[in-house]
Amino acid sequence: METKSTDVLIIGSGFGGAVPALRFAKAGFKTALLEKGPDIHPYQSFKQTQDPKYLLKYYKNLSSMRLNLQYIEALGGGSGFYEMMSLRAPSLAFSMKNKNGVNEWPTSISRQNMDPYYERAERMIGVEQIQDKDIPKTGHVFSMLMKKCNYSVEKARYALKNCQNSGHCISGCIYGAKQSLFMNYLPKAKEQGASIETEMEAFAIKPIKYFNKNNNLNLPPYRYWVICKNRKHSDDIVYYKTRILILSAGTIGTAKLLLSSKENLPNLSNEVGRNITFNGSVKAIAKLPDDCPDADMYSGRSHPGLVSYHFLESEKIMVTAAKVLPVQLVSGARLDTSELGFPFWGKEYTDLLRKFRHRMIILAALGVEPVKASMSVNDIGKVNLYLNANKELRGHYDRILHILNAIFQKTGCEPVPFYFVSRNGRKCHVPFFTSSHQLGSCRMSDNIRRGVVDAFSEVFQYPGMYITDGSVIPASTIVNPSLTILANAERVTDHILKKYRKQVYKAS
Amino acid sequence: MTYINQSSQQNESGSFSRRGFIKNSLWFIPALSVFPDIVPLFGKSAAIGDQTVEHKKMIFETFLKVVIPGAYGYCEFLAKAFADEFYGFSKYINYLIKDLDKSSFIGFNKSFLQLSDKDKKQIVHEGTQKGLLKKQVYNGAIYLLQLIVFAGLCEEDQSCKIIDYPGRSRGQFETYPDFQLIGVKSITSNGNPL
Repeated sequence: METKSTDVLIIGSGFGGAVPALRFAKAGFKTALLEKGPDIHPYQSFKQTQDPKYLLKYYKNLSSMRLNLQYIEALGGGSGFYEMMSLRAPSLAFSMKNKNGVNEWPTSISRQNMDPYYERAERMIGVEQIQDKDIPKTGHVFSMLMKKCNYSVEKARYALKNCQNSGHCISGCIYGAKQSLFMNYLPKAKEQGASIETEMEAFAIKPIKYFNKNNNLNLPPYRYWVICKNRKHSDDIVYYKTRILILSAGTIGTAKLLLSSKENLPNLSNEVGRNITFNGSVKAIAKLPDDCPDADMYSGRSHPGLVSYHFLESEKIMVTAAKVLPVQLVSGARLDTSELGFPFWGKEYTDLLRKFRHRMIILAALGVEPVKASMSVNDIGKVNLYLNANKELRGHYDRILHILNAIFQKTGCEPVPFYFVSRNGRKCHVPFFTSSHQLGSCRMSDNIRRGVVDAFSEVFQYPGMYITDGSVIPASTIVNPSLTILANAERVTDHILKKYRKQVYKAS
Repeated sequence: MTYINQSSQQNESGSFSRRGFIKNSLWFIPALSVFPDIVPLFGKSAAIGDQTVEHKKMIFETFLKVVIPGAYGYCEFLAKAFADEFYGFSKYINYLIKDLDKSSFIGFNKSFLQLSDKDKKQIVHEGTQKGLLKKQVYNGAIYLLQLIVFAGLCEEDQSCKIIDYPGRSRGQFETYPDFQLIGVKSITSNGNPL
């Protein structure tokens, strides 16, 4: 057993953790960041492959009967494997109200006061709007369909530099074009003296009860123990003692850690693990009409480059095209051939998959869902996920699917039935949602009855403990949430630094 | 929805899984361990000249070509995958091979290798439909074959020509000139929603 002490301990190196690592190290705090997953070396770690053995080294999932949430365990969190989409959440997302008319976000937060932090985050990861020459064929076909419907289309924004359009974004960019966090925030944090340890899994938090408030006039006292397993060294136990604790292990990881530590943290809000929003992702597939040029499912960047906000005000959704790789078609969603009169194997099925590359389009609608998921952790640390597919959720699913099918109908596309494959290899029940946009398991709120952290992400009843990842984002961001998580982490870190600098000033 | 209500939905539970969809999709495999004669096909015994192993390889290859017509056939990666404990199918491949032959003899009084394409298809189709364990093995084998072949893992450049998957990037990106964007309405100045 080893014991270490630090001023700031950060759990998780994704969009929520990389920001405080850099900012605290730069401000002169002794900073340590722990990452459960393996180290990533851009240019060396990644492969252009669909090999499940390679992908499953990083990709993890949490499933229930109605919902599958995907996340990444690796240095940089999801930033190494996401589609680089970096959009600001619309103003509408910040003013969302729940069924009782209460604001989902704390009243002090709006798009307007998030904009400076968005700007800073965009500068750090180099966000730019896609250029026409880089829009893949699928994007062009999407724009053509939307034009036929007289719907608006926007060129999306990405965190990229010198993209080669190789089309293997989700297995990691071997060219270093994707501006993942291990290309910017994390190396800069290291330069500033932060220590970054990979394959270190935090599994319990314990408050230090009898700390000496005057142990150091310039710094807050040591407040928390974090107990970790070193996965590199046969699960050796390491104790970290920290003055400021920042949790950023992701929507699932952070809630799991807090729920596992509930015995030690009895005053935690009961909202931990609830209110998980998943951006209500609904998808539909169709064959393109003969007069439409070919799309290309397998080349160009993983995201088709264009989005439509046409239904933003009316339905609180964003519509975009989606691309999938063959491995996803086999293991995640399958074309339903039963209605076409042949099995999911054999010549006809292989022919259908061949056509799939050029003559099919997938539409995806992301946005606000009426029912949220929740999770719990049992005595042996197993996480369970729940989503109640009630009438409201079914109604929402049907309505959004109807919108997507109406686009197909207006443009002469022929819908192709498909089904998701559940974790036991069977056909999933409808509706079924898959997402990697999970947020809100430790949402921020103006009071402890509705949330886990306050508007500056400090855990209610536990001073010095903060959460900066997607788990604090209280509602769907409608667009991809990575930039919002990054911007919020910048906002919160600014506040924490100001607070402790003030304390240093007062003490001196 | 309250937390208590959600907790009562035990059947909707999920779990962390290191092997994710592969392992989870082959959930039925432990149930097959009741078969005592199941041994790995692609083990050390697969020496050149071993007629039994060669016969099994041929049946396996024929099965592959029924499931994925146009596939190259037996390849090293496929053999490795079916023998790999990671995918969890290694102990049950022998059962599949034996059953293909057994079902062919019962149905057509011939070995699976000697059947016409139509009859081979019928045997596989029946395998995916009949008997709780049998259909799970057949469906699992098809799933694994598709996963390996369609993902391009049997070809050197990771492509799959039979479904036109180009595999590793060789700088072949092609797109349209911007004509598809002309006349498209845009409501934002820089792509960010307002």
